[in-house]
Amino acid sequence: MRPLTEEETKAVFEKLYKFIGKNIKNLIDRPNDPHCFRLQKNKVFYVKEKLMKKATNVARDKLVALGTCIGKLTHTGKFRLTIGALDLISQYAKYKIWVKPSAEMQFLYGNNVLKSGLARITENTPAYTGVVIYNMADIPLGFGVTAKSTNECRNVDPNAVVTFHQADCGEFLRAEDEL
Amino acid sequence: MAKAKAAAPPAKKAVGKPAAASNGAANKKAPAPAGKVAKVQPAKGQPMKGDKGFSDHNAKWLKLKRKQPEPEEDEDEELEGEEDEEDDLGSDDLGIMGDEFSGEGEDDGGEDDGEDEEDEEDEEGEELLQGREFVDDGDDSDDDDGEGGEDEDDDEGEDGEGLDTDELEAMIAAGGGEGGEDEDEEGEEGEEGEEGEEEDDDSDDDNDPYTEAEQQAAALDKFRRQQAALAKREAASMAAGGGDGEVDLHLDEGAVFTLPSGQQVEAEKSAPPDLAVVARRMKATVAVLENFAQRREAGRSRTEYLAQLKRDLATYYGYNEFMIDMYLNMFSVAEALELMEANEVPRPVTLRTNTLKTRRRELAAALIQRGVSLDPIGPWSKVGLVVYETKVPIGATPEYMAGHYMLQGASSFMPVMALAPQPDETVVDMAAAPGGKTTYIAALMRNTGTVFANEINKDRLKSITGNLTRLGVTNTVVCNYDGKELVQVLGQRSVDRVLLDAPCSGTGVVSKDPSVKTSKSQQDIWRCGHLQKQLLLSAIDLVDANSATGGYVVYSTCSVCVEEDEAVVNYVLRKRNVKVVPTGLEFGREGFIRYRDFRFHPSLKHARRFYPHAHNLDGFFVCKLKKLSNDIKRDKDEEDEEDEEAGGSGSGDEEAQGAKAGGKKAPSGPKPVVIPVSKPKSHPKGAARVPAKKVAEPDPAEAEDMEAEMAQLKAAMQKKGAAAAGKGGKKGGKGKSEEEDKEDGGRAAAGKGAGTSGRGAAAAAAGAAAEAGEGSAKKKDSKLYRQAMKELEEERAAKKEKQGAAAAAAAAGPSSSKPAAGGQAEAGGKKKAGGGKGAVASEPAAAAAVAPKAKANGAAAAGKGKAADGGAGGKGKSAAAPAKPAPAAKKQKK
Repeated sequence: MRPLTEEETKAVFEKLYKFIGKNIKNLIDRPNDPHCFRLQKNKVFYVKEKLMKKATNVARDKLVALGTCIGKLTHTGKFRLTIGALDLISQYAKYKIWVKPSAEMQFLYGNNVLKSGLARITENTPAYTGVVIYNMADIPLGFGVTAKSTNECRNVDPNAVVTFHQADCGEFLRAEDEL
Repeated sequence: MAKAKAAAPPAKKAVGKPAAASNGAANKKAPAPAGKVAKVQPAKGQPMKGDKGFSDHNAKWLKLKRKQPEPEEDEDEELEGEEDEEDDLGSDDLGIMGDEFSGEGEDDGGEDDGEDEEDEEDEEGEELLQGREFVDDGDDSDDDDGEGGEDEDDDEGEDGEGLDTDELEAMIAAGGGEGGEDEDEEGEEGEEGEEGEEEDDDSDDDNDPYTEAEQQAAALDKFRRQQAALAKREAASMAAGGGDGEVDLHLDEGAVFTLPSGQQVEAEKSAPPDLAVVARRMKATVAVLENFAQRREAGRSRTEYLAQLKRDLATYYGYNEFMIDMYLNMFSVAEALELMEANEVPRPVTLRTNTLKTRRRELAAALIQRGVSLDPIGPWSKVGLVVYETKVPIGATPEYMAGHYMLQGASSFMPVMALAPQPDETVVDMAAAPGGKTTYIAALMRNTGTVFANEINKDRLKSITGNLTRLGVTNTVVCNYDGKELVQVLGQRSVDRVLLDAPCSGTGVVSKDPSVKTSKSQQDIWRCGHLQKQLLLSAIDLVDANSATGGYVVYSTCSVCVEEDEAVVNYVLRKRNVKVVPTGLEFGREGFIRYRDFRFHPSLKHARRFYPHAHNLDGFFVCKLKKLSNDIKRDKDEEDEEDEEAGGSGSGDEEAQGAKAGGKKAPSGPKPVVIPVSKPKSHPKGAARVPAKKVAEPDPAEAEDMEAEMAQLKAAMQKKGAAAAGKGGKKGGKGKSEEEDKEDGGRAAAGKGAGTSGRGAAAAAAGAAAEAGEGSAKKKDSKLYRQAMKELEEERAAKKEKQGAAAAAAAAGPSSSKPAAGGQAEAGGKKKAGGGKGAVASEPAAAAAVAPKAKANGAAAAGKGKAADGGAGGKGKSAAAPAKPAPAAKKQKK
């Protein structure tokens, strides 16, 4: 377990910025409950400082996880958000889309969101930006990247992809090993 | 299955009956078959089947019904409305099925339901009066039942089960007789039989749709088999007895279930077993064993019946010998049978609301909308839901994926509830996978503080992290240590609470993992027990006794073996400064304090045991420990040992040590060396073990030796003598047959008494006096012991006179030493009468208690050289003596 290097921090923040914009500030500045980012075996954890300190007791090879795992650093130094980050980014998400009940399971099986499954979308969502995907009961299901802006969405073919899938809750079942 | 189909009104009735039946049996003992009927109900296509209502109470939970018929309500019914209903239920103390149905009747405004309710209540009323109920049923269902019965009979007859007729008759008599008598369960079996008939009438045409819905084909098959057996029995009894009074013809009138002969047994071994026959025979055997004196076949011993029962259980349920013995040691035969039956059926699917993400009410609403029918788990949990049936895979709903709930057995709520973690504490879950309990802990702490989730098995770590992430737990550190190393990692006294859900043999979760039936042996249990002791010590060392809010350790296992439960806790009680505190769980059975030759610390009654048949939970054990001091107890422990050896065992925990002291009486004085041998600290069972075997039969010469030394060690002797007297008293009150070859009755009683308690030692009792005494002796165990102790003090004070009396008695009976013993007993009896202690019922026992005491005195006197031969004779002969003094003393009373 170690703090992130400058580059790693940059990679992480850039990715987060796509989803929550300036709200990143809220993640870092929490005077009452300071949090920090820590790297442990390629995984980036967002963790309370108190907890982090307690976890320093645990040997590196024995430490499996702490706090919230928000993503992984790839070999090439890129940062990839994992489904663990969903709670975090859904709190501060700038752009959201809601899927119809019929498309809910489709998305949870790892498919992209099609126009036909799109129920609502935040106004003025640009194309190719991070969005959090909710179902109609406002349960966050996952996140992805928009393929079309809000305006484009209005008049596209029902089978057109609106959002590219990045991560979804279904991974807890499908891909537990990769979490 | 077919029951509810019969046609609308009769169907109602059919449904009502088992419901009432299981209500009647209420929480403690719904006999397994009744449970089965109940289970099948929901699949019966009840007309009003819809989505389940939602209320905070689930009064039915504790009943052993695998699937409960619950009040149906429309899907869109408002939760408020349901709450009203639940209030009604809540206000009604009975809170049972009838009432729920009535509530539903109001809600739906269905006339049928109203009727139904009446039916229900009738049934219930009848249920309460077992005998009458039986008669009534016979009356109103006479014709059709009779018919059905006949049919059944024929069918079954053709099957040719190779059952000889008198056996059948015997069993019929057994079955029929049971119904009318005072025994609840049996009565229900009777009723069960009728149910079975009605059902079987239609079963042919109705099977298909319902088996499909039922999802439990295996259970169904079994159920049907049993139904067939029951129906047959019932039918035969109908045919024979005409239904009413005749059925009451009882075993105790002379009809006797015949054990199969050795040849038959052999023949059975070679042929594939006929399970119906076996099942019936088991029932009959159990019935005999329950009232052995009256129902047994002349000349057959209890052992033979038990052996047959064990064979049958092994055949029918597929347990190995060890498991059967374990169950039979722990429960009465009837209850063991119930337990095994309950083990055949899966526990209900339950889930726990993740309060970090949602609330139970919202979750229930969401799931109901997805076509899941569920109910709250019961008043004891605010977060649990029980799932009856579901149209969607309950483990793959969006709510599940989003972490709104966790699928976990109801039993795994308990340890966490007992742990009661507080916000901002540091908590360790020493064996965390797959994270169900860990996430519950985190939820109770509202994601504050720190939770260490440890798991030794690398492969299971993924499931922990997966579940933690899914449920949005952020206060947890997952680590991969051996639990025993955790102390080094986290430091001693570093945490507030520890949950140790120890790795165990899994003998409580047979329904989940049937391989346990055959794969476990005593060695496995001991191995587990050893590991558990290490882990528990480690857990206790982790905890800081001075923690402001905590200082608790919760130990739980999913095993019912005493060696893995109480014995482990008892061990750490000796090793560390901890005490057992109440778990805060509302139900469950108390932990064992005495189990066979184990004697545990009395505070272990605060532990809780749960059983499939009694609580409809997996079998498991929960014990909460409070750490009193951070000092390690080693020194004190050794002191204790020494104290005991010196015979000066403190009076602080008399109850715990009484047995020990009593057991050790003879050897402790003269040869302290014996003790470490007979009670090694590292005994695999780790409990205060009464060294029954080793000291059971000292030869007469040794006895004399002892007596001489005993006289020397008077102080110690007096105390132990008193304990022995208490023991002897108990023994005296209990059956004598086993005792004949034992010099020290007290010790024998310690082991045997525990082993056979509740198992009808009375059946083997020597005489009426013994029998009369038994009940009170059991009840007054400790009281009696203290009383005897006190008396001995008095006696000692008046020793001169006593010695005179003893000497006189000894002198009176030198011709034969038996009369001598009798005389001593007499002396005791007299004194007893003079003291005027104890209620009339307890007098024989008390008198008997005094008898050995007098004997002990006599022995002491012998040591002093007075009336040496008489005393020694009395002592040496006490083998034969105990049987005598009891009646003698009784006579004396009169």
